[in-house]
Amino acid sequence: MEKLAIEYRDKGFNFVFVYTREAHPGELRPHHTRFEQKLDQARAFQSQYDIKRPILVDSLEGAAHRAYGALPDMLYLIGKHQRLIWFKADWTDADTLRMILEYQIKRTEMRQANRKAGPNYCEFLGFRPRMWDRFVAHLHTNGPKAVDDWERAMAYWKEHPPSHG
Amino acid sequence: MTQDLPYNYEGYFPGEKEEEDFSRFQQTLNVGTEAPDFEATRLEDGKQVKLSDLTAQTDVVLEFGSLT
Repeated sequence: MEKLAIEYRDKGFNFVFVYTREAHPGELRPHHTRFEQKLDQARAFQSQYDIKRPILVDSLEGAAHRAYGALPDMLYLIGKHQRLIWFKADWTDADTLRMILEYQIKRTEMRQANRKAGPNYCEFLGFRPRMWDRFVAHLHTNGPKAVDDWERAMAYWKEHPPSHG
Repeated sequence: MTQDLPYNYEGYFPGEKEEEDFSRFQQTLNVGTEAPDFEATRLEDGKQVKLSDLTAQTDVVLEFGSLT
């Protein structure tokens, strides 16, 4: 996403990261109990992943996060005009976003060339690469509790298969 | 079950609430509708920033997430 942010910032897209609650808290990276702590963990995130995008830290109780659906890694493209939602996804995937941004650029080019265009409502079911090993390694850095919780979640899903990703 | 957990839960556990959240995501804030405005704290300088201030200038790619 950082690479895309740099690549597309001169093409009319401003990338912003909204820092939410901890999705998989553990002893080393606990859930937030104070806003200052949330800021500290946002700084740790910024440093660890060398995030250059502006980070907006949501309120302690997650007002923005909840307004947008409260899923752990959502992605939206919001238009300059009328703040329209052009695209939304329940998980962030850079390749999917690149496709959408290229599509938006074509839309702009058509407008600039005074070519007529009408709305076209679309839906599609995307995909995202799964990197379980990397994810579980990441859980270990959150603390043993995060790993234990994840193992309990896996056992739960065996009995209750999730309909989502 | 997650429905009884506070927003800042101490430990992750899936459940019916999570299923509902994913299902609701597909049914609300549909494309073509207006995105809700919000205000949050910019980490860089601690200033309060509104989404509408950003979208007044450019299209905005909004990613949500955390360290964990």
